Amino acid sequence: MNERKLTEEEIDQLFAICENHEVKYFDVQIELVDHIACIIEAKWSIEPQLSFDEALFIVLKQFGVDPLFHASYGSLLTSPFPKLILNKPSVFEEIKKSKEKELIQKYARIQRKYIAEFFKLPKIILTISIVFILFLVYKIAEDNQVVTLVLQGSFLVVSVAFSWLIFPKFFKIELSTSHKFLLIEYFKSTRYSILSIAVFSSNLIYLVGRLRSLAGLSLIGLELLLAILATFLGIVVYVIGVYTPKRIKEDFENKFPQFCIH
Amino acid sequence: MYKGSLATIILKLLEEKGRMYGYQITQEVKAISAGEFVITEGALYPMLHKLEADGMLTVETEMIGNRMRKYYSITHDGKKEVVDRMAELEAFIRHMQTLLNPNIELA
Repeated sequence: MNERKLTEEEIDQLFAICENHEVKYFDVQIELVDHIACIIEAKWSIEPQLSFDEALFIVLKQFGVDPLFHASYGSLLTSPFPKLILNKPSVFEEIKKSKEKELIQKYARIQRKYIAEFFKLPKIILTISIVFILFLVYKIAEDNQVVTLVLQGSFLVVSVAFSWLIFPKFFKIELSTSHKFLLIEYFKSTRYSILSIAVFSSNLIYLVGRLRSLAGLSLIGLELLLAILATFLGIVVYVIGVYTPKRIKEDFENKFPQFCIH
Repeated sequence: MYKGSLATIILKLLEEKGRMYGYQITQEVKAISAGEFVITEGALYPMLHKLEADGMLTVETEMIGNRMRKYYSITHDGKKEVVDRMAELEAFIRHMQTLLNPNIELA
């Protein structure tokens, strides 16, 4: 006897349930839908007489959604209401939260690892060279305030140009589906985070530049400190603005090649 | 369950079995432990996501019949982590054994 499998309509119904329980992104829904479908099919192998709704009723209870609050399955399947009644979060909420947390942690780890590479061979040669060049610029310049303002301006101009001109043109993922992906939303957010980081960086450079008059730091110490700070912040801006979206794009293409237009 | 043992169970299982999907992991654990250990979805997926974020697991998706399925595999870092975690777990069991039944010797 053939084992009973879920039909496409039933699978669609499972996606609708996820959607109605605040799990809006397809990359998070896939796992939940497959898991629920596996449980239902396992139930059918023992109790083949169960209808889809009956099997789903049992699974949703297991997932922390209490179907008894609803008079009919119809309202249960489409309403997010049960999760408001139950005190503890449903499995839907737990999985959604953990997935969001995972993305932030994953890319923060990748970013830290890549930033660290700039302080190891061979990239450290580039880092030291930039620090040295900036240090020389500060030394040669008669007025450090001018160099600081130029650096501050460069950070802002480059980041604005990057966010509005370069990013939309070179860092885009074209999809062949209308599904929403959490990974894509995270990818898009890097475009805006680069702006806030650049504003923060330029202000920090300006503040440290003002230290000479405020704290009376020695000239050589200040020049070196500014050169190191500007280099480090430049590396951070590059890693978040260029390296991270590239990595996210690669990860997305590896995970979901069927949804990418090449 | 001993704190941290779920991650160890998942990593060890993936090291032995190769790639697996979420439901398969729950069923495998249930079968191996003869129903003694039941991993709930609310515990399994957050742990899988955490291990993925930590670089211990990688994920690939595949079309199975009419639905997509996510498969988890252990990474090189994950394999190294299994060795450390297993040693930690064995030491914990040994210490518990010594504490609770000092007269029984473990092999």
